[in-house]
Amino acid sequence: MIEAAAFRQDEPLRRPLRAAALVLVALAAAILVAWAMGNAWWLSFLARVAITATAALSLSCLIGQAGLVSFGHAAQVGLGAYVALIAGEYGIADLTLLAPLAFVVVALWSAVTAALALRTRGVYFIMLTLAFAQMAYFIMQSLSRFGGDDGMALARRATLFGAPVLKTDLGLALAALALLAAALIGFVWMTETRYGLVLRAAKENESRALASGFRVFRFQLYAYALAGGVAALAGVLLANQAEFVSPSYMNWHRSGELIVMVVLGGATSLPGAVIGAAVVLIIEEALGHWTEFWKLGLGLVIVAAVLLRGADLSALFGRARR
Amino acid sequence: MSEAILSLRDLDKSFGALRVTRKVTLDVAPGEVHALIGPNGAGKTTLISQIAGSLKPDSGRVIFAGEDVTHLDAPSRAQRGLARVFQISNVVDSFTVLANVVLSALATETTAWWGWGVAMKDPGLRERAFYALDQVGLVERAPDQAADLSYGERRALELAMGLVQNPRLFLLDEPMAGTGREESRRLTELLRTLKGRTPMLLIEHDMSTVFALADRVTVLVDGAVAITGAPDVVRADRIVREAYLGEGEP
Repeated sequence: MIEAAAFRQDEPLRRPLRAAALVLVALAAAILVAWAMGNAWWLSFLARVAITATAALSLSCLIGQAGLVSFGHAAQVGLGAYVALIAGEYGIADLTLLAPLAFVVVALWSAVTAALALRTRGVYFIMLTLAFAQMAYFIMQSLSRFGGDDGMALARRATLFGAPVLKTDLGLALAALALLAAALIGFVWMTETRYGLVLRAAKENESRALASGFRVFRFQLYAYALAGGVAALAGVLLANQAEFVSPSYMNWHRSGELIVMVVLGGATSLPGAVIGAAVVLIIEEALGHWTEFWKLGLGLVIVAAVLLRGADLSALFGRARR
Repeated sequence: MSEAILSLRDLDKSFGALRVTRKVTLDVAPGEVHALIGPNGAGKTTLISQIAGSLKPDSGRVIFAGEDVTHLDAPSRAQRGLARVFQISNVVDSFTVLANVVLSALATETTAWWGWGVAMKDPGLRERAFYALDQVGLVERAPDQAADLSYGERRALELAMGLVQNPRLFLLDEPMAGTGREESRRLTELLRTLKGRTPMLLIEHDMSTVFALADRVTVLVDGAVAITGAPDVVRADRIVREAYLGEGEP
């Protein structure tokens, strides 16, 4: 038998894990600084960055790893928020119950919709994901018992083992950071497992994966359900931060924004999605003060990123470092 | 031919008004290299696709290793031991050579494909992958990206991806297509070493390869079997000479 030589791909996880650690440490440091300075606005902004980044990250797993461009991912986030709202109305507000509930409900919704959408490819898949997201949007809009079009305030912020961990801005920011860290490291690790290898192979060459004996449909279905579940957890935190849930969370603009974040960060880079989310939110805040037309500025950034390095901010930073 | 590894029975397939497969009946015996030849448009690749399961026949049956697989999809047939080498090289370009073979090895792992471990570090998978790469002479190329391989090396990689699954039948769709003379010679040599261990159904245009490797030859003309027989018999056949080989001969 041939002795396995030492190859450079023997450490396939090192680079993405290092990038992930870098991104997480930077965000943690920013949160601590904001807390030390007693700046509540910054704390809540950073929490929003972490929450949005988690949603973008789960979409990045679909787009960059599985090759499934969903144009309805905000619905998964919004549905998670609605699970928090509705469960709260029935007295379920502890994360030990609420988080698994939101994950499972939205993962199931994702699996059912994906079972239909995955029968198509390309632009048809994109349109079907949008259609299902719009269905979710209108269903929630019509639920007058839970606020209908206007939305509804959350009964109270969620607890963890009865402790009000999400009550303070710091607590919420740290919870969001913890979720982001778990999701980022989990997804990065997943890409190198057997499952991740098949998922990536099917993304690039589906007929190869099928001919080798993999039921690609199943692999993609699981990925879609998992990404939906993670997005739902982000939605639970989003609901807790705003203490308010409305159908606008599921607006298709938001799905589009999530795609922008993923593409901006470099579609195949999971840590890049976090950077992309941060950049979009910073631009929104920075320019949003000055003008309603902040998206013009975002557009310019996208154009610049695309022209400079194939819409890949992380690669751009990588080049600047060298 | 009672113990055929692959049997096609009255296979029929039409695309609209175009009947591309006509009542094809064919057997591949264990250990046999069976060549499928015929002019362009004779329906060879369509037939291979129906055997592999990526196309469904309109009627007729595909029996593989004694089991009727007519209604099974391509992944199920692959898991039962059908390994396909495509006419146009079909590997994962962004993966390394080793990763391509590890991927293929995964498909037939008896243990579940989910596990927390890093797939490329799995010693069992690596050992199987290196063994297959060694058989096709690609061990040195293991760390390189598949996209960087030469055309012939890609064909060899595809063979390794098949070999690692210990297939019960190889479906080879023009393995020599697009390769240079030297590469073609080496691939023929490689297939010759595999001969006897794994039965093959081989589509090939290069007649020297066909007659060097094949135990039997089936000629497909307009979707129907014109003749099946030993290479010498087929070569001597008048229909074949007219339809295919005879072109340009005195």
